Amino acid sequence: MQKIYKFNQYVLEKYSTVWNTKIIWMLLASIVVHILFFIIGYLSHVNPVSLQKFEVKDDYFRDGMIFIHLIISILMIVGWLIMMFKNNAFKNFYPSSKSKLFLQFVQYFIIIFSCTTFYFSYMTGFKMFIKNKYPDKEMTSNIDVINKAMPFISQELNGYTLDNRKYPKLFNDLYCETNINEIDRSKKYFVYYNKVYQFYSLFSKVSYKKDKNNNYVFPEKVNRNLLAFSENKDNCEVFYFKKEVVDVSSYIKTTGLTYYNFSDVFYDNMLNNRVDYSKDIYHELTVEDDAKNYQNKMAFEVNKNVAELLDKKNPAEVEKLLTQFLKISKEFGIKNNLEAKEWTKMIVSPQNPNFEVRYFIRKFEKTTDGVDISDEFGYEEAVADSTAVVADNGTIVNDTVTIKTFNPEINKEISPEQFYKNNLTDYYYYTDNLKDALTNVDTMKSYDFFSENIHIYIWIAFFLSTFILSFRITGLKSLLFSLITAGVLTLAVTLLTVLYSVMVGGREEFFAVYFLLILSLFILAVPILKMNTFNKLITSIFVNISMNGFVLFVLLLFGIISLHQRAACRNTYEDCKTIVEYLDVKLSYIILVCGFVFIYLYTSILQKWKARPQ
Amino acid sequence: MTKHQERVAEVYHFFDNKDTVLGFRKLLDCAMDTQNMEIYKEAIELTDWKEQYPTYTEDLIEKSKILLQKIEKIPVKEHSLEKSVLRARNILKSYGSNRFSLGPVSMEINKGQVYGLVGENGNGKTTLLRILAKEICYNEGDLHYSFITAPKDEYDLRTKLVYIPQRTAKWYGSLKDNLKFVLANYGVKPEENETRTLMMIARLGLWNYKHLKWSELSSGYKMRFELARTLLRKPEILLLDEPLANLDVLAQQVILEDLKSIANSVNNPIALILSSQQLYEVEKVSDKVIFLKNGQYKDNSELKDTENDTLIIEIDTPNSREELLEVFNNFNLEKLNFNGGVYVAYFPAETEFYEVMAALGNAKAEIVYIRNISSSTRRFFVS
Repeated sequence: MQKIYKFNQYVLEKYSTVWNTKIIWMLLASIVVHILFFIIGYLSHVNPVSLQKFEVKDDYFRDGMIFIHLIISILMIVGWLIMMFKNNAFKNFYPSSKSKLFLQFVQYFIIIFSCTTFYFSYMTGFKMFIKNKYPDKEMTSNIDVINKAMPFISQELNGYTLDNRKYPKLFNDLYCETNINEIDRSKKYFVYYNKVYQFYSLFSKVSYKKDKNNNYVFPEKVNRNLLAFSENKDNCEVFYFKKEVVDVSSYIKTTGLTYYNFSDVFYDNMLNNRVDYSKDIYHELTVEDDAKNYQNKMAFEVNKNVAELLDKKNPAEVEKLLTQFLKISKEFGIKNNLEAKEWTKMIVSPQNPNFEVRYFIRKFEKTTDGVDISDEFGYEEAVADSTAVVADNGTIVNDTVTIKTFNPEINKEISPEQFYKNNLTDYYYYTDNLKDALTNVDTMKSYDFFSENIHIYIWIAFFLSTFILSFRITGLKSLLFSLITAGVLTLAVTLLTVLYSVMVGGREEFFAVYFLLILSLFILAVPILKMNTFNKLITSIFVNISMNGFVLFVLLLFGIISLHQRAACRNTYEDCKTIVEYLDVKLSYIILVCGFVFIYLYTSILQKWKARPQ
Repeated sequence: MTKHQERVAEVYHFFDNKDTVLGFRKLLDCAMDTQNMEIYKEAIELTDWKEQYPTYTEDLIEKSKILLQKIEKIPVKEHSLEKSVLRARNILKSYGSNRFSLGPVSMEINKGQVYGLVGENGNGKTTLLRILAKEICYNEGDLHYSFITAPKDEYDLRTKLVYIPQRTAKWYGSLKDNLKFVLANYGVKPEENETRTLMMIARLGLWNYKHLKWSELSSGYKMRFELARTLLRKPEILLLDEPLANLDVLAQQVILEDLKSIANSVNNPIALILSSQQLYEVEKVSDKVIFLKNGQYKDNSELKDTENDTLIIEIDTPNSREELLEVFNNFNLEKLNFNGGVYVAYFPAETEFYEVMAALGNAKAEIVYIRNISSSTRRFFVS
């Protein structure tokens, strides 16, 4: 205690403003709280199960940490204000200078900023934990194992149908037509219950020209019916057309559900990033197509891996993969009752030379109350693709009528849905949880929580600082009057704008912003140019509104410019960005710098106001 | 012999007469004038010792004299008192629609002078003080200040105009820290801060109160702490509104004496203007007494020139008017007023005060209080 007292006295004698603002103690206190939040953040997701939900990065706001944060911040700031308000050199007319007042303001800003930004410490701790617990290298190998083993978690029918086939490479280059109205019956096609598959080779046409609706022009001299799909590139669109049917029957051992067909990429970080974080709306299509190509490549790899593994016909190798997978699942705390040996038997057996899918695994544990969610999931997803087909002329054609021309025996065959139900085992594996966990780990690693959230905290600190400075300079009475005046002015602007829109109409936003601009200029000008025109209390209202509202005034200026820019390019299809859109987050920093410069320059006005007799 | 040495000699005299109470205060004044930190430290030590052993008078005198010897040797820079620090010319202030108007007031005050501002409630004392402190504006006239260093701007000027209102604001936190905060803001060297603060605490007799909280202090000590805070600002002009309010008679005399001797400092003289209802006490210490009635200015210098052709005596007696008239039968009494509590008798200029007293004595009149107020502003109150 003696040492603290001595240190305090030292600071008081040498740096009176620092002693008054208690910045050293406040920073020390906030460092302690920051460390605490860092530790909480680090330990918050020690249990891997906590990662198995949507958007773990927002847990801070969902799990109540934000309330603890708010309470601590409020307590710290209130305590600090009580301590700081004990002394006020400026109010007592002790010698002061521009820089002294400005530094006081900067100290308020630093204190409030440090007392309100525990979120960053929590997230840093959380991110560090994720990086330490799930290193990149280990994650890459884990995801590799997961993607290799995923084909064997037979939970949905769709993944195992023929149209998923990517390997050998031939399949990857072909287009699989599944629309029964488009099938060329004179060529080779494949039938599985109510689905028909026909493989086509492709040719492409590139279009660089755009029509007036900003779409690429469809290539001339090509039959629109032949279009398979198209891809958007940076400055063109590539249209792919069906060329001719390719007979791939030598590669197809069964047209039914087989592990050989599986090519879904269960998880890939690159895809996760590309799809979820493509914010730039102007390049979204390109990014998506880019991602599609990548996904295609990955799908080929998955299919190739399955095929190669199965071709070895070695149960031990499959079992080894599944054991590895279950070990990883355990690390991630994924709920399941799979057992590698039994599971391998479900896949590899001498009675199943074509590795057809014969058993299904539930997505959820079988419930005892009779409601089996797995049943519903499996059933729905199994039939999703095969109920109806839209014909060219837009009418809906019931495919069970036409399917008979392809598969006359369809009524005698067991439906995939029934097949799924019959072969659904009691084994379960929570694949969605695994996907969430993997997504969350990668998202957390790359999540730039700082840039995304810093501005809100900067502005909270800035506005609170100007508010406190106003209180310290002009006192409570002036501040309350200023608040009332600001409220009345806002109301007046709103009412006048409404009145204008009712009576005159059109371009109300211009009326509102210019009215605000004139009002702001008047408020700013009075203390600067005509300090002695009004009495001291009224001038203090102008001073307070200027101090607290200057940054909003700068924002208003940018808003006016941007409004004019938008109006200027309203009738063109040009890609014209307004200044606000162009500057984006930089605008926040620009206004912040303007705010600080203004406060520095305004300190002389504050001194002038204070020195004025009543 | 310099002024400083004269002051030190006076202090020796006090100690020779064993008047340690006043002597010690004067000793601290001399010590403060030296602006020497070593002397300050010794004075602080001595104060501490004195408070620990309040009954050891002989030892105190001996120790004090040793310190005085050291103080005497330190050269003290004398400050010029010639130039007036404040000059007001025809200051006029009116409130609202001619409800009250003050002035015109013209005055000038030099450093080292003490002006008393008297008058009944609501006659403009506080208004005048606040105008002089630039707290409120005036309608007409000129106000001019001249300080050792010219103020850079209006705010800088306000830092030099030290005004203590009648009701001072509450202090928060440690009293000593509040005082040190003042010095730190005034750019006093960090190593001198503690010493100067303690010295001021010692000088204003606050040694045993420095660890208390503001709420634990009596109003008299609150005023003393406020004075300490003010004096640490080294003001060249000090404006005090009713500093004697809420103080007992003895405390009033002590604080006035303190103010007078602080204002008269050799090294750092202060021009002091104080308002008060305690006319007698204020007149005793003031170089000039200003009387305000309905905002109109009068001061006691006028009395000597124009109106001092009458002997005016204030008498408090249980005797009746008739009995008094009988006693003054031979005195050519001009008038005898009774304003409820006291009689005020007006005699021609040639009448002597002692003759009136003798007549009262001879008549065996019962006198509670008698005072010649011919040259006191008291006559403005009773007339």
